[in-house]
Amino acid sequence: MMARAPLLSIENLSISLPTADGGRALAVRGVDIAIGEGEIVGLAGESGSGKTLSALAALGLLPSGATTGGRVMFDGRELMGEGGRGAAAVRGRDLAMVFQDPMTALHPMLSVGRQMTEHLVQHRRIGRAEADRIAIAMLDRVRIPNPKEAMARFPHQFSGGMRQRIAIASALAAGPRLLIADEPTTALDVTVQAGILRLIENLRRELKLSVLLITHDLGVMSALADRVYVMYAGRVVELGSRAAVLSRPRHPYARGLLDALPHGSPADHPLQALPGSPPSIGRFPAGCAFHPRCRFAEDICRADIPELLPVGEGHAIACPVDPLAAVMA
Amino acid sequence: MSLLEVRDLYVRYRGHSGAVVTAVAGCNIDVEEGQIVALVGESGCGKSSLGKAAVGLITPAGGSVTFDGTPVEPLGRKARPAPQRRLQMVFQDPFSSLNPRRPIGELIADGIRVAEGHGGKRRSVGECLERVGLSAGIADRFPHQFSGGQRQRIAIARALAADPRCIVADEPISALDASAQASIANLLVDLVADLKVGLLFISHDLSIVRRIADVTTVMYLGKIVERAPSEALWARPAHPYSRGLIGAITEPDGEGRLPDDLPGDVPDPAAPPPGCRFHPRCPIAIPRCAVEEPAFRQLMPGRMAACHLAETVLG
Amino acid sequence: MSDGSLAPAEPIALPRRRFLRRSVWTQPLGLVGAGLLVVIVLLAVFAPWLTAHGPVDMVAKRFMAPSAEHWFGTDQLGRDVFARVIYGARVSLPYALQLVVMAAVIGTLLGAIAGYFGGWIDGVIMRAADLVMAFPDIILAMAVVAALGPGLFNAVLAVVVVSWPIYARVVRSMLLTIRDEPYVQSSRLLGVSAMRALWVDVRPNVVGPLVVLAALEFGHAVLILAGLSFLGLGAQPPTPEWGQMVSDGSKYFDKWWLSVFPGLAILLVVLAANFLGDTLRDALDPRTAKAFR
Repeated sequence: MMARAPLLSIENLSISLPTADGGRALAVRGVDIAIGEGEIVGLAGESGSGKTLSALAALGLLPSGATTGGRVMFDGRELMGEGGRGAAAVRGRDLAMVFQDPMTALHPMLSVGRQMTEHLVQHRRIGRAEADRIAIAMLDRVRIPNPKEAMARFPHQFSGGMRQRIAIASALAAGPRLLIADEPTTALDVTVQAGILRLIENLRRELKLSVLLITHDLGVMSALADRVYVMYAGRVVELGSRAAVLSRPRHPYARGLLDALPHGSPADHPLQALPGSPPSIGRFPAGCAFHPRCRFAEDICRADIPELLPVGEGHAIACPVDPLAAVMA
Repeated sequence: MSLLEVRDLYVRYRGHSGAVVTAVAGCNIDVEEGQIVALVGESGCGKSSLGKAAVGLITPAGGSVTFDGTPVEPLGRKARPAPQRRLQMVFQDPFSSLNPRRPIGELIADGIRVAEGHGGKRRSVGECLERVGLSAGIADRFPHQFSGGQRQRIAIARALAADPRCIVADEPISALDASAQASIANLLVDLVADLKVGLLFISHDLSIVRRIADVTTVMYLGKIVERAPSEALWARPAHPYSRGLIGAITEPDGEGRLPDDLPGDVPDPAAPPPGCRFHPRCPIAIPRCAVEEPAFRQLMPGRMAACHLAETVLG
Repeated sequence: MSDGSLAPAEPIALPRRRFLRRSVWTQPLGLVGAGLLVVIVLLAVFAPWLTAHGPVDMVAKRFMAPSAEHWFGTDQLGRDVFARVIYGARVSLPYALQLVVMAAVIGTLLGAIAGYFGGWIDGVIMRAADLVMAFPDIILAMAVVAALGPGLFNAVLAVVVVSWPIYARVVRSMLLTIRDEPYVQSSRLLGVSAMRALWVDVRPNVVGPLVVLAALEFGHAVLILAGLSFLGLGAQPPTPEWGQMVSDGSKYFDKWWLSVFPGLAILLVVLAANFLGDTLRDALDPRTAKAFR
């Protein structure tokens, strides 16, 4: 898969959360993800899949009450758990995140310039003038027109797409090596989304930035990600290159997700909805969590939680039955 | 005479700073029975306002809406005129389109009463539920006990119970997850084919629309810029905005193709650009576009567009 | 059928009246509040059996401190303070309740009319509400009582005049919000008239918050009636009303039992009403209602 050691390595991550009735439930159950330098890795899944939680674990942003297992390594350093001050410094400097809704991600009452330079001044101990220069340069890089004037304006004076660009600029101002983007374009119109996706790709090239792209939108995934992990009910069920997972999905869930999407011409294939809905945390079915919705389910699926097994070069699925082998291989 | 005819419709409202915003600036739409007409556009283009004005929820500032030959009266304090009740609406948010305090059987019965009123096909509550793929036994449950997709089915059942001839669906699947989107879209197509109702399908999702709509109408900043049969529009869009919109769509095919960027931002609807509203962002704009608003005209049978250079674009 | 999993999803605690009563029993504060009120009401109802003396009977020496014989002591006319406090509940509670009901009914009607008709009717009613709310409530109530003449019933009327606006505002604003909800619009499209939609769709959603408001206002009502009586504008002697008793007692500072016990009674009732009201409100709010599963 990767020639060099990965930049970010999530190893056997598990996260349990308190439930409403006082118990605990596993939301993420043994997840391994690796991201190399300059790579865009996609984390796909629907609600309840655990994709966002997995990313938040790297940033130390899990909700209170969450307990974790496994480890998250960044450039050889442990990020989670008892990392202490060292981990916090790494997180602040080398990792950054952008969220789905740029309006709530930006502080409505601080000017753009102020927001962007605040943490630069604090964490990097740079003078204000220098921080401003960095911020203006970054705003220019994300193609905000008139960046110098933009610094003095406020988030509400910009459109949704612009705000997301500002959020990205703000995240990148300190020069992180990994950007976590959680549904960065879901709230945007399709033409605006196109601009943001191109921007992320450009930034990856220009800054050698690694990106962990979390989204349920497989079209977005297809445009940006080099490799894709598909998550379901807290586990990775398929992983592989973009081409492998999105054009030749082997796991019945991944296949089902793609079949429900319209693409190609109408005659190509009818829209096929996946029956049922994803299980919520604390209510994952036994064995393979997908088995109640899978038309290929067999006894083994109800009994054992499937392991990830390779089905091709860098391509693995968590399905002992592998029913699509004949069709896809 | 179409089943639903919108002519030169204007919808205005007062915006944040008190400025008047013309959300819909002279639009025409036609829906025939048994036909699915899609109205697509990005946020702020006015498609929702157009849909609401078409059923009478908003009072238009100008123009007319005619349903089955009679003018549609905007809703006032009185009950909606009986003939208009055969023009129904399905709303976007499945969580607020059903009264949380009433059992769904009652909600559907409301619709059935309407069907009786105009002597239309009277179905039972159970039949209505089964028609949308739910079981009849759920009639005494409450909306919050169902998922988004199921609630949308219930909302559709309610509209259908009234035996409508035309339905306006305002982003009916946008708030649902991907698999629910597919099943609701399929349901609507079945119902149109089965009952020969006309359907105005308002959406921002061109990909879904391409699958299910016979005719696609593209809207930008309050104006309709193109109308064509769906496949023809996809294969050869005549308006630069349609072309930009189609190019910006991502395909989940693993090819790694980055979508085409449409530069610039949507202008403030309170202050639209002069001439052609799209000209500041248009890759092929000529001086005339900044001055003269293009007329919405026929390019060939079945295809209409509002662009001075439409013939060139069509190639 | 695809996506047709018909098993009900996790039940979300949506407010329904029936459901509310059950939930109150599980929250300690609400339980305490409800319990206190029940106790006080029972005390009021069974007053004759619980007190050795009547509230106006001058049975003993004046200014006797609390003792085994007179639990709360005696007042300046030798009346048993305990009896007066208990019987005082018979005055304060029903009048406060009457006040709340009247204010709620009037306020709701006016708020509904304002919201339904809009236009100048809305303007007039809301400006009237603003006008009333601009005054400190006790001052305005005093002015009204002064015009009508002192007495408990007039005090009630005065406080009704002062309290209706909050109900009107709440009802009107709920009405305006709910009117634009898609489920109401969908009913209108099915041919339901605006008036009927109000009744069928809006009303059930308004009742809950109104009940909460009334519970919270009840404590306020008791307090303001006591205040008016304290000033001599409400209950007239010899009617045992807590506020009036506090007022009388304040003249004899060293005879602390004259004011403290009626004051405590007011405190308990207002606290109980507030606890109950707060719990009802939390039960109603879908966000905090999770605790009531």
